[in-house]
Amino acid sequence: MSGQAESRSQPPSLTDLPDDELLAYGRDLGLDLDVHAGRGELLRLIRQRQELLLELDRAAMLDVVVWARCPVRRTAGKDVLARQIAKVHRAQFDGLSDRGLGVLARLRGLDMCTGEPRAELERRLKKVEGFRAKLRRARRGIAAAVISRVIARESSQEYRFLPEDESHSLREEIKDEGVVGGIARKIRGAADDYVREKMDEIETRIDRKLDEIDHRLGEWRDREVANRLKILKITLLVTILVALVSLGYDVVQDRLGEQAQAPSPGRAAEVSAMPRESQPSLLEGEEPGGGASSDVREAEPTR
Amino acid sequence: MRGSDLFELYRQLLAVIGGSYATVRLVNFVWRFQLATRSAPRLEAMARRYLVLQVLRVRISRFALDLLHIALLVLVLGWLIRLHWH
Repeated sequence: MSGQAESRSQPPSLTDLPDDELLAYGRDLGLDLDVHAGRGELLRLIRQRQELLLELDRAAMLDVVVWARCPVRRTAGKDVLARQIAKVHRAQFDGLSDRGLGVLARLRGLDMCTGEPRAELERRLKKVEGFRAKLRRARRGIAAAVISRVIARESSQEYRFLPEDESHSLREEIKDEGVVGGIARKIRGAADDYVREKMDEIETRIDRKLDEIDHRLGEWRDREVANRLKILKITLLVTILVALVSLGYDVVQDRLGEQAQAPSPGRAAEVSAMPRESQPSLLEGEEPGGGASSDVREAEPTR
Repeated sequence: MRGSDLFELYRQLLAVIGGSYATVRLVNFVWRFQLATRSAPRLEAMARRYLVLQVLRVRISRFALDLLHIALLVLVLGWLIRLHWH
């Protein structure tokens, strides 16, 4: 059993894993991996994280987990702790020990300098967070303040680890149920454990596949929405073009109408050359030699 | 605007008929989808609800640039229509 347990706890050979398994394994280690990253890049990041986990102090990681009140067992491995710590996005570090702060900083990708003051480290941790994340945090903070006031109150209970998975020893089993019953129960327990573990594995794989399907469907939906928006944009552009043409047509039509209603320059000169008495009543009040054609236009009734 | 003419009548009729048709079809689709989800077997109902969930999970911020373009284009179109009326 111990050999099996050892073989089970060994990390899988990275190079043998397919891309999706590699991605999932990297995320299990608390890495924020890009789906489109190359295989080489994924391998590099995962190996880097594995080396970092070897370097980190487990007690310090437990400090972070307790501070963030993540639900873990006291005996949880470093990879489990790293996964939980990766989910912590707090930017207020009150109550976190110095070594815990160091672990948090390293897991968030910061290089540690020896003897760096705590305040400086906290400042760098806050700085590494992007502007959008800060905005999101502020928005969530407001929502949390309102909701917690309405619905729930802050709990100040002490943190407790999840209960360990305890199993009775063979001696206790035999004591309780006799030799045959105890051994049978132990074997059944071992078989149950094996089946449960396998079922857990299968469930995890199914969950992962479902997540992948959901992710792909989401991508397909986003592409579809983007296409619809593009079609809408093209329609609007064409409509604007037609509106422009229509506007131009209106302007040209107006100009042509104005020109058709205005008298020709020859006619205006003819009118100005006529004796004052015989000029049409339309031109009455006009000064002699004062630009007949323009005055004629002014005297025209407007459209 | 150059008074009421045949084209203006056609345009208004088109807007009323087109708008009503689109609204009725949309409401009808949503109503039928809801009815079919209620009476569907469990798995189909789950799939239908999942589709609705997918639609609700669309992040507007991902299409912010496209939506901004569309808003600008709508503004330009509104301005051009206003010019037609003067």
